[in-house]
Amino acid sequence: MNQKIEEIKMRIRNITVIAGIYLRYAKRNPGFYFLQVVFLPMSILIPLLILTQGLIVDLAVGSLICTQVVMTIQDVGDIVSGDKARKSRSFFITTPIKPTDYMIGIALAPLGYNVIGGAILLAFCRFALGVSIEPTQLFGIVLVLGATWFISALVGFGIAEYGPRNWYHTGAICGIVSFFVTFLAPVYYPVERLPPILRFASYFLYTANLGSIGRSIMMGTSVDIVSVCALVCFLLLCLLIVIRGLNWREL
Amino acid sequence: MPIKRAIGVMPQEASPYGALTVWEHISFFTRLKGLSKKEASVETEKALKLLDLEDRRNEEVDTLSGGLRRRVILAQAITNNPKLLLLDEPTAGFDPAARKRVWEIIIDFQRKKETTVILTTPYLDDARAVAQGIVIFNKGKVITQGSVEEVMSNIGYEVEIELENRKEISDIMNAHGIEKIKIDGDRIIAWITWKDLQKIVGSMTSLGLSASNMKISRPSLDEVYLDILRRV
Repeated sequence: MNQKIEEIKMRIRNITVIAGIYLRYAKRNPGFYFLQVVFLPMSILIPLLILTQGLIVDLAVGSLICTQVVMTIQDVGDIVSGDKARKSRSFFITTPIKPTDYMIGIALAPLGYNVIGGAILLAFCRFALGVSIEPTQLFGIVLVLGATWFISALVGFGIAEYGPRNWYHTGAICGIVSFFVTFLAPVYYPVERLPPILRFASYFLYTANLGSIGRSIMMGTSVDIVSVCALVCFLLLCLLIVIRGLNWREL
Repeated sequence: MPIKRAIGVMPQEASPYGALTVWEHISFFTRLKGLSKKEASVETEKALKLLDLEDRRNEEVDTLSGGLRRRVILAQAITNNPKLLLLDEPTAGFDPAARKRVWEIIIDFQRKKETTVILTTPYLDDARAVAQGIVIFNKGKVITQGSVEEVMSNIGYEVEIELENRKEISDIMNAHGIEKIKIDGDRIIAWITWKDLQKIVGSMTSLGLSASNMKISRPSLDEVYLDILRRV
């Protein structure tokens, strides 16, 4: 039992060390990262608010999801493809850490600054836009954002792991995927605005499901169970793909 | 205990993380060997001192030269007193002074800390000083292996001699079946075994020829390597 606890402690420590390695980039350039996590979602939210003059809750939920998606897919993709290109992964493979710890450590790094972006945007929605957020709603939204971060990290991982060898190409693919799942998918707008066939197709996009769940939480309506199931399936599929890709021998 | 905790690895092609300082890089990867923050800090200090990186501790790895980056990777490999050190071209890109220092460190680990060191290097004569065994590969296949002496004797000669080019000397060489000979102006260079050397000196003495101006040298491991490759 004690040995098991020690092992868990060790794994948590390893994960935080790995996250710390990649967070150093943000620590060295805090202004740059701050602008990225705040400026991008804001620069989309504000014009949309002016243009639509409504849909405030939809836009708020869309922006919050955007804070987690864009930076996570891009950063995890960059980190993984960078490690592959520079062959830096051998530093980890030759230590006793497990592949899953490496993966979680990398995923945690963008969360370090995404949390700040999410908190600022949430405060903006609450105080500047007057969106009412009850504690239970806040808890639900945090869960949605956590799921967004985790699945986005897996998507970034998958793209970099199975994608092109050239990391510039990986970066471009991550950008395109982020754009697609954030702006084309019904994240900033309700799924009902789509024609029926596309409405069905949107169940295959995790962000559309998260957007739908997030809107239901904020509006106090019942959560679409199909969205939840689709999300769980997508999460399991991503996990399976990523864990298969990360396979080094433990000695 | 996982085996990997007892291994220190210096990969050849892996680039260190540029945004980390020298201290952070060594310390982070030392912690991943299972050490606490405090233990890793002590080990990092030792490694910095050993590899003369103390002055560079707060410099970001990105700002270092190629040789210094390699030193950072070597430093993180030697922390936590590994039982097995796997070094892929540990002195590549080092200036002569740093190269000498690295070989000293490797010898120190091998002899005082009883660490098993497996390394690859193109500097064969440097390796000769530390190697208890050598394996020579060509295109992924083992061509020869054994102790330095065994590898050298496998190629059929152990010493290089240089003598005055005289008919009597040529006759002695022919009489003893020495084939690996090169005539260089007024000198004869031959590659022979220690046994052949004894016979040649014996024959010269019996003919009243002096062996005092014979130059004897051991072929370098580089020459042996090239010779082996020529035969493959």
